[in-house]
Amino acid sequence: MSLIDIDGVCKNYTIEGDRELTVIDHIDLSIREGEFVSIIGPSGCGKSTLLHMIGGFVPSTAGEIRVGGAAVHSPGPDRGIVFQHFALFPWKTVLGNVEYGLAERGIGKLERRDTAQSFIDMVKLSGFENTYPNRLSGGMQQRVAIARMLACEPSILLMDEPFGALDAQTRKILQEELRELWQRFRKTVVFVTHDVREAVFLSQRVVVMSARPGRIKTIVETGLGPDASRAAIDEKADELWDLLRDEVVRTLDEERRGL
Amino acid sequence: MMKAPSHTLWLRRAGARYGSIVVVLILWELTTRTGIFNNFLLPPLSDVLYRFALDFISGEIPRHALATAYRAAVGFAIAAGFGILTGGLMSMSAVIRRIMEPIVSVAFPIPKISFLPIFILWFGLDDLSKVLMIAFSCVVPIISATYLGTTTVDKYFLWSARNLGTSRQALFWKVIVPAASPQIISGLQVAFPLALIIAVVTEMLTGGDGLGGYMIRSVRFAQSDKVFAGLLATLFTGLIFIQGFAMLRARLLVWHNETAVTAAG
Amino acid sequence: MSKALRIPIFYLPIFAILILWELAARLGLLNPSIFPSLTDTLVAFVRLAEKSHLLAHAWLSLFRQSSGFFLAAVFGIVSGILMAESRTVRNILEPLLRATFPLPKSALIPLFILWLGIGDSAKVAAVFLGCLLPIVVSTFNAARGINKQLVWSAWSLGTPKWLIPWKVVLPAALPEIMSGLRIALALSFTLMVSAEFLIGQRGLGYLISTLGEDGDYAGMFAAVLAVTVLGFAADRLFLWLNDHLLAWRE
Repeated sequence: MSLIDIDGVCKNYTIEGDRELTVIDHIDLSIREGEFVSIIGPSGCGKSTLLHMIGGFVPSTAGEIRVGGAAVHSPGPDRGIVFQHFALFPWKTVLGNVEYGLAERGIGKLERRDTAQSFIDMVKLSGFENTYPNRLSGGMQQRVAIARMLACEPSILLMDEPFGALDAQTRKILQEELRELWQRFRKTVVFVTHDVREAVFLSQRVVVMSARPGRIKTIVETGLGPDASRAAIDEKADELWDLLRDEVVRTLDEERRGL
Repeated sequence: MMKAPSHTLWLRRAGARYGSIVVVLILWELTTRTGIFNNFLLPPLSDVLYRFALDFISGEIPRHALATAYRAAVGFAIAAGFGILTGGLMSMSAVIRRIMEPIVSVAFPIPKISFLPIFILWFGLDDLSKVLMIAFSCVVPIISATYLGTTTVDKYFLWSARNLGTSRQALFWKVIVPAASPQIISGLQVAFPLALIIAVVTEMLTGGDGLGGYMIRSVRFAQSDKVFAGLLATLFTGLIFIQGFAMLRARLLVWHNETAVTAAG
Repeated sequence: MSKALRIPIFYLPIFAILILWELAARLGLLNPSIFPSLTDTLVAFVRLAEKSHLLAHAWLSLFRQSSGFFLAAVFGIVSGILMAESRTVRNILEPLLRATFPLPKSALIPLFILWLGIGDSAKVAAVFLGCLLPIVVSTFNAARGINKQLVWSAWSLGTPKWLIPWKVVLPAALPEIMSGLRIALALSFTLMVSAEFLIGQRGLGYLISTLGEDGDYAGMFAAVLAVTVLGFAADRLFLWLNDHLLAWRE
C-alpha cells in the first residue's frame, strides 16, 4: 500500500508577468510506507520543488499529491521537514526548538520537556539543551533540526539536501546516524540530494530526475534491505554509481546542448 | 508562452503602484466637498491645488522653495566635506580616532536641533545659524559612515597598491577613498533627508523666508489652504532633492564601477 | 582593565572638552554674555531644578517623546510586518509610503498645530507621525529579509498561518527592526524638541527658547544640556535593552 501518491503533478511558474517556466512536467510516483527513497538530479530539475509540494508548502499547477489517500493542501506535523541550512529558530535554545512542535500541539510543559529531552539524547546532543543555535556547529544544528522534526512523530520525513552544507567528515557521520535511525523506526523518508553515493548508501530506491523540464528519468532499486551489511552496501554503491552517474552526466550533457 | 494580454497587465501593475494614492485623493475631494470633513481643517484638494498654483505662479512658492533648498544644500555640502575629511582622518591617525570616537558616539543620539537657540544667539537669525545647524546635524552620520568605509577596505587592495609603489598619502586618495565610496555614499544618503528636515525646522522657528516660514505663517494667519499648499511644495522639493541625489549617486557609482573593472583587469 | 573603568576611559576626550570649555571661560577667551562657562551652566542647572521645575518640564518632554515613539513603534512594526506578509496590505500601504517618503517629517508640525492646537496632542502627533514612516520601512525590509524556511518549519510544526508573522517573522526580524528603532528614537527627540520650540506650553524645548528670549543664557545652556543628557541616556538604555532582548545573538 503506497503512503504517498504523486499523480500527474506539474508545476509552472509565471515570470515577468507573461512568461511561463515549467519546473516539473508530469511526475507520477508512488512511495510505500516505510520506504527510504532518494531523489537525485542536476540543479533545476525540480527535486526540491517536488519535495516542497509533498510537504504542502507549494501548490501544484496540475495533478495531485495524496498522502494516506487524502490530498495534500497544507503543511502539517505528519510530514516533517529538514532543510539544507537547518532553519532553526535562532531566538530559541536547542530545547526550545525541539519542543516547538509539541508546544503547538498543546502538550504540557513537563511532558514536552521530557519528550524533547529524549529526542535530544537520541541525536546525541545531551548537554546542549540550553545552548542557542548560533553557538553550534553545522552538524550539531542539523541534528537539532532532525530532533525537532522527529519529536512530532511524523509518518513521513522530508529531507531537502540536509547534509549539503556540512563538511565531508560530518556528512559521513550523519549519514550513518540517519541510516541507524531509519533502521530503528522504519519511517517513510523522501530524501533529496546531489550526492549520488549518499543516495545509494541511504535508500532502497533512487529516483533520477532530468532538468528543464523536471521529469523522472529513471528509478533504480538499490536492492538493499535495512539489515544489509557495510560490505554489501559498498559493493552495491560502486555498482550503481556508474549507472547513475551515466544518467546524471547524460542529463547534464543534454542540458548543456539544449542551452 | 503568453499568459495574459500585456495591456491589462500594465493596468493591474499601475493599479497596484498608484491605486491607494488615487483612492485617497478622490476621497479627500469628496469628503470635503460634501461637507463630511470641516473645510477649514481640511481644505478640499481642489482648493489646495488652486492655492498652490496661485502662489507658484506669483513666484512666492518658488522663492521659498529655493531658499530652503539652498540652505539644505549648502549645509549638507559643508557636512559632507567636513565629515568625509574627519572620517578619513580618523582611519589614518590613531590619535584622531581616539579623540573623535567618543565625540561621534555621544553626538549621534542627541537632538542636535536643541542647540538651535544657541546658534541663533551666536550667529544671528539669518542664513548662517540655519546653515550651520544643518551642517551640524548632518555631519555625524557622514563621519561615521566614512570611518566605517575607510577602515574596512579589503587589505588585499592596500597590499597590491603598496606593492606597486604607492606612497602612504597617495594610498589614501587613490585606493582607500574610492574603495570606501559605497559606504560613504550610503552615509551621505542617510544624512541627506536630514538636511531638508532641519532646514524646514530652522525656518519655522525664525519665521522668515523659506518653506518652513511660509507654512508657520500660514498657520498663524489661519490660512489652512496655504498650510497644505506649503506641504505640497515641501513634498515636491523633497522629491527633487532625492532625485537630484540619486542622479549624483549614479554618476559617482558609475565611476566607481569603472575603476573597479580597470583595477581587476 | 575592569569593565567599570573602561567606560569612563573611553569618554575621556569628552571630559577633556568640558575641562577645556571651563578653562577657556576662566581665561577670558569666551564672551560671557553669549557663552557661559561650564560652572555657570551647572549652577544655572541647579537653579532651574530648584526654582523653575526643570524636572517637571523634563518629565513632560519625555512623556511626549516616548508616547509618540511607542505609538510609532507599535503601529510601525505591526504595519511593516503585515506589509511583508500580505500582498493586499502591501498594495494599499506601499504607494502611500512612497508618496509621503520625500516629505521632511518636521513639515507636518504646522499641520498638527492647525488640527490639534497648541496642547500635548500636537507634539505627540508630530513625534508619532514623524517616526512612523522610518519604522514601517525598516520593519518591512527586515521582515522581507528573513529566511523563508523558518516560516515553513514553523508551519509544518503546526503553527497556524495567521500566527506565523507574530511567532516567527517578528522574532527573526527583530535584530534589524531594533536597528531601525534606534534611529527612530534619536529622531523622536529631534521632533519633540522642534515641536516644543514652535508650540510652547512647557517642556524642555519651550524652556530653551524662553530662557533664550529672556536673556538667561546660562539657563538656556543648562536646558540644552538637560535635553542632550536625556537623548544620550535614552539611546544607551535602548542599547542595553537591545543586548538583553537579542541575547541569543551572543
